[in-house]
Amino acid sequence: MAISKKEVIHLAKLSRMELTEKEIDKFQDQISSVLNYVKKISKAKVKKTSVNKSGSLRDVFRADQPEKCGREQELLDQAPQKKDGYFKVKAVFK
Amino acid sequence: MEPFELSLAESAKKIKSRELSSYELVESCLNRIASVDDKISAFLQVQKEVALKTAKEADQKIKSGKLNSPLAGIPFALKDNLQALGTKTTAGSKILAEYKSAYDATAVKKLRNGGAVFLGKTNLDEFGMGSSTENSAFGKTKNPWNLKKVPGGSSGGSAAAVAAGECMAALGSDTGGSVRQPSSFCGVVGLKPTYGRVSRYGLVALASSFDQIGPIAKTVEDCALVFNAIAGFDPHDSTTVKEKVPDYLKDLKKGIKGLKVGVPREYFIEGIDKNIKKTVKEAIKQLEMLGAKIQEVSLPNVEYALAAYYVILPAEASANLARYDGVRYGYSVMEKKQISDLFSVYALSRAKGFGPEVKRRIMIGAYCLSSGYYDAYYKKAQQVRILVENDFQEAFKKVDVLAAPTTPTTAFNAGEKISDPLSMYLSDIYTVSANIAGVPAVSVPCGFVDGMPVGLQLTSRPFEEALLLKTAYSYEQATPWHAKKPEITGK
Repeated sequence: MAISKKEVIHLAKLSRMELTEKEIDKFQDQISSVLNYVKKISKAKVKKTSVNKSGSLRDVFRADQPEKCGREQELLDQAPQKKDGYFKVKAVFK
Repeated sequence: MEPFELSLAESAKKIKSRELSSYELVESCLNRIASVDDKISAFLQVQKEVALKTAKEADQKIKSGKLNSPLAGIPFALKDNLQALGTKTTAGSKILAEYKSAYDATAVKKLRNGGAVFLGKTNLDEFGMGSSTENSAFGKTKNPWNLKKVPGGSSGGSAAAVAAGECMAALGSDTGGSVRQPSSFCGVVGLKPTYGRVSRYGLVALASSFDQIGPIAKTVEDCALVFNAIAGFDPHDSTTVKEKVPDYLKDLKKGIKGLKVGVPREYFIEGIDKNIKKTVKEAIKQLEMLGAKIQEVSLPNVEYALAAYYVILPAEASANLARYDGVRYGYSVMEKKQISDLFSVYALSRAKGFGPEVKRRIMIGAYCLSSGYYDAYYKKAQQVRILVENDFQEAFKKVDVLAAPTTPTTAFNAGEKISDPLSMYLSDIYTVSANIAGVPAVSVPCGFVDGMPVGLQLTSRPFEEALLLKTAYSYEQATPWHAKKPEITGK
């Protein structure tokens, strides 16, 4: 298999998704098959050019001036937990 | 002929001349939905009262001369990954099952300002990840031509709704073929614009360097009418360009005499169904009869394009979907008693909220971006991207438009590919290159194989959608396919 069970568990942790044992097995199989397919790009003869050299890319800036959104209440309304106009979360630091 | 059977252009003409009211047209579409959607399941939400109310208002404004835009009073369906005020936008996912749109997507706002009426939101593969609409958390959509077959994806609901006459046109989104492939499977016209031509503001992001919103319509002229309304620069999307938007209808009917059409040889070798090959070759012959000059061209890196796509897409998707964390909106486990730490809020909200395909792609993306693999996968894929862009640039030195199949097969049976993700990915083989290179491409019906529609895919240089649509229009008008409609029978 292109990917080990341990790697699948690690990827699930990085992705912040808890998987069941059954999912870990199934995904190991399926992800391995996809990785085996996409590996073929290793055969492509690419130029040693920066990946940011694509012709259409350009930087777009605006003035660094904050604006009022005006929809604060609507946005807060969709949160599971809120307090005093803030989103409420579990403690980040113990 | 019932109003729902008209093309958008025909109905717009009748509304303008007041032969038909928006109310009658919208009511006709709503009745059509009531009559066939239990068989097709194209819609996730239908907004009957709001639509009729909007239609009434449109009629009043048209009567008093206050509204005379080309799409005034025309009913649309919107793919459910487009924010639209007054609707839920689920992106086909449990994690957004109750999410209410807080704003209109720019493309939606432009249609709304032009007097369009929104009938509802259509089904899709979850977050746009899929080629059959079978990955939706809210049920499967059926192909109106054969209810046992898939409509394609991820804009399967939108394509099926247009094919079944449930709306005059629809908006979909295309990241690797998600407008063109379902359009091909459902026998309708679907356009993926040049990257940057249509604002992505309000489109639930999948892969930000590939995503584009595109029209799905009954005819090429209809497609051009919708495209006119949605194209253009948007300060909310810094990837949109300031290039002037031409009138896509202006040269539509001018014909293609002398047009240089390239046929990429790599698209006709392995994997293509031999009847599709025959049908598309006949379509290309038709282009020649219309005055085009046909020559073979080569896109030598197409064999790496799909592989590069399935590295870049998961990588960008893993970043874009990190926002679904159960904190600010969407499905959350935060209020459950047994949840005591932040990590669990993330891990369990996402575990329960995301479907299997979404989880797979997020993890593949995390893998390709992780230390030790980044160079061999993500960086290499981005370098392949430049090769694919160059292939198109080289081809477009010799020809103006490319002609090829949209898909290697016609619509497959429901359930056929769902347990093998890789075989599902392979159905995108002809469409992903246009997203990788940012070039525009359109799928137009070109025949039938075993009763199922076949799509001809035309591709042109960046910002040459007018030429693309003109070519598609010339082909369409010389052939009978656009007049054929599915008979929706069975269960």
